[in-house]
This record gives sequence, C-alpha cells and structure tokens, in this order.
Amino acid sequence: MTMEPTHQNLNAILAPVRGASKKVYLLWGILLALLLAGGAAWTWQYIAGLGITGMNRPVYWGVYITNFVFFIGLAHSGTFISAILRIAGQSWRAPLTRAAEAITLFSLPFGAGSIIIDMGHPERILNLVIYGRYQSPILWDVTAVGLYMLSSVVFFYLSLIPDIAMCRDHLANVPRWQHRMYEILALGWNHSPEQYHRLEKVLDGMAVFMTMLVVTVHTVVSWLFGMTVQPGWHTALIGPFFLLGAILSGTAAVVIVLSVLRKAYRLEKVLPVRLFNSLRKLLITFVLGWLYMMIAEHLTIGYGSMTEEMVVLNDKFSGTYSTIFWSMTALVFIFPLLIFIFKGKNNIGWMVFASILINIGMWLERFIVIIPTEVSPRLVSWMGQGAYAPALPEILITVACFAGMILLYAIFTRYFPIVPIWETALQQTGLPQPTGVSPAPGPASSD
Amino acid sequence: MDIGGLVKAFFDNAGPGGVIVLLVIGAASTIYYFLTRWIVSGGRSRRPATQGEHTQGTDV
Repeated sequence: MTMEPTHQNLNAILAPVRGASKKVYLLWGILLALLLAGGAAWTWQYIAGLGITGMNRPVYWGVYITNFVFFIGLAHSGTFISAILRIAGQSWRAPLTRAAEAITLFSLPFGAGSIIIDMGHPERILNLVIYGRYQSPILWDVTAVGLYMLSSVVFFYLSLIPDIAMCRDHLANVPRWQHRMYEILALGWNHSPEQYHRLEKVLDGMAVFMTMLVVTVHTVVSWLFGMTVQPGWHTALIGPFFLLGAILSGTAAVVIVLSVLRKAYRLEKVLPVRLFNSLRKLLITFVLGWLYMMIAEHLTIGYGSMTEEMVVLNDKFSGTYSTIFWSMTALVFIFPLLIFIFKGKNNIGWMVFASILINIGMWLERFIVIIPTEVSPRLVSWMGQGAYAPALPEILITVACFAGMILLYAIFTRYFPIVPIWETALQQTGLPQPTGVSPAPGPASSD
Repeated sequence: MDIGGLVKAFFDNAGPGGVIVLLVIGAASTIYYFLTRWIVSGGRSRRPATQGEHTQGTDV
C-alpha cells in the first residue's frame, strides 16, 4: 500500500520547478557576478594579506566576524520554525518549514566561511585540527557549528525526501538530468505508510536534538567573546542575549523570504496572510525580549562603573559609535514594534518592511558588540587605542556573502518545492489520513 | 572517583582537541547515515498492492 499524499495546490507548488522565466536567470546572473566580485576580492586579500583590510592592532575582528555572528544567527530561523515549533505542536508552521530551513542551510556556509575568510589563509584551519586544545572556546565553536551544519543538512534532507519522490513521479517534462537527480535523491522512496511512520519518528526525535543544538551553537558563538575579559563582552548575559537576537533576526528573515516566494511564485493560497500574522506575534515577543536583554546588560555594566567598561559604554552611548548604537536601537526595537502593533496586522508589506529593518539593525548590533570593545580593549595602555573602518575587500566580500546566500536559495527553489507538499497535504481537512502514521495536526489555527 | 579532577585535567592539559571535533562530527555522520537507511528501508518489505488499494497520487 502506498499513501502518497494529495494536495489541492500541488500544481501551484510545483510550478516553479517545471521551468523558470528569463527574469530568474537574469537574477542568477547578477548574483553570480556579485559572488565573483567577492571571490576576486578574497583572492586579492589572499595574495596581499590581511593588511589590505581595515583590521589592525588591536582591532583583529572586523566585519568578517560581524558577518559570522549575523549569518549564524540567521541560521536559527529554520531550526526555530521547524524544530521548536514542532515540539510545541504549532501546526500552522507546516507550510513555512522548508523556506525557513533553507535559510538555515544556505546561511550557515557563509557564517562558517566568514571565519575562514578572517583567517587570511584558509589552510590555517588545519592548525585547529593539529594543535587544538579543548580549553579554547574556538574549538567548542568549531564543534558546535560543524555539528549544527551537519544536523541541519540531514534534518532538511529527510523532510525533503517524500517531496523529491513526488517530483520524480509527477514531473515528466523536465530535462533528463533533472529527473535523474530526483531519482537518486529520492533514495527509492515509495510512499509506504511505514516510511512515513519512521520519518515522523526520526523528525520528532531530531527536533528535540536540534533545539538543544541551536541553544548550544549561539551560546558557544557568544562565548568566543564572553570567555575573554574584554569590556562589554565578559558577562554571563552575552549567551542568552546572542541567542535571542539570533532567533529574532532569523524569524524576521523568514517573513522576508516567505513574502518574496509568495509574490514570485504566486503562492497566495499556500502561504495565507494568517501565517504572517502568527509570525508577527512571535516577532513582537522577540523584540520585547531583546529590549529586556539590552536594558539588563547595559544597566548592569553602567551601575558597575568599572573604568574599562565605561570607556566602551560611553563610546556606544555618546561617543564614536553612538550613531550606530541608537540607529540599531531604532531599527531593531522602536520602528518594528510600532509597525507590528499599528500597521502590521493583515498587512504583509508593512511586516516585510519591519523585518528588513530588524535585520539591518541586527547586523549593526553585531558590529556594535564587536568593534567598540576591540577599539578600546582592557589593556589599552599597552595595546594602544584602536580605530576601524571596513576597507573595499571587506565590503565586496560582505556583499558577495549575501549574494551567494540568495543565489543558493534561488537555485534551490528552481529545482525543489519550497512548500513541503507531504506535510501540508496531511494537514488539509477532508483528506483521508493514512493508517500507521502519526496523527496529522489539525487545520491551521494561527489567529 | 574524582570526576571534578578529571574534568579539570581535561581542560588544563594540552591535547588533540581536533580529534574530539572529528570524533563528534564522525559519530553524528554515522548515526545519521543509519537513520536515513532505516527510514527508507521501511518501504522495501511492503506486500504487493491488491485490487482496491490504489495510490492517491494526482496526475500533474
């Protein structure tokens, strides 16, 4: 017996996979050009050395590490939507799981890659393997991020297998190589109830593991900073603060991506407005949580009035970095919260605008956490006062990282269904539920 | 057994940290490989479809 799910919007979901317009290929071309420009900048940096960047003594980490923290943060979207909401039994998340997981999958390589770019010479990564000592947070980070990348790929792929099998079975008019690709990646999936039963079981188990992993990953990323005794970094709050910021920017990224997919592939029926309303509620909660963390951290530091800490704090509040700091606060908290409360409900355009602001603000937040501390380190009398402004190679490589992530995403949506067919099909009311499979969740009940 | 001492020794002594990274990633890869095989093998032992048991797929 097979139990291939039926889906009333199957045609709409598979439409982008059947073919693409010239506009899509034009977009690929532009993104590829930006990626190549970044590749050229990296080659320039490889040959000339890190001296051509804005980094110097004592500012050893610049926008590359900002990008690293930002991309790893974006990567939390997929795990949050798929794993945490899965455990919480939130059935409305089903149509957007793959879009969110794809953000995870395609932002992680650029997060991890930013570390390698920051090393100057990539072969230096071998030093970690050969000489690594486990008391170093860098090694914890390599372990956590490596395991997270691997687990994300597996989690993503497992839930994709039934849909790849559907592409194999239903898409007859695609090029031979594309069909062959589906055959190989489907691993002989034949929609048997036992396969679905086992798949659900493993995904449920992995969801718990992924939830633990997502907390570990961003906490460990924050400990790269927190385990030093530098002003502004050495605080126990840095772990949860980083984690909450990551989930905030990741969820905001999901709103942006979903709205683009909805518009570009005409998925209005599959991605209804109520999904966005549910995400809006989550974002309001996260924005308020982020503000709480922000106040708690800065108030504690301010009341301590330790000399080195106050230099950095004053730099952020009223000194060199005050413009960035207050812009970041407005972009992450003030504007989005006002938009979500007064304009966002049932209005995707406003929600997307607020989500873009949040992500710009979160990138600035990563920058403002890293740079002011590096410029005024604890041993400033010995290391000297620093200064930093990103140079051309850093800007080009940063743009290339974003372009590369979007390019990978665009290529994926061209060849694979971005809305999970089997998971959403099981949700539709009125369809027969197969025996031997975990009970399908009820109809979406977001608002 | 002095577990605290053992943990301290682990962190205080120079050691092949890279090996631990590789072990963790390697162990996870092995587990995921067998999990994937187990899921997919659920469809191999199914009996042949009898009359009246049709697939529910749609013709697209």
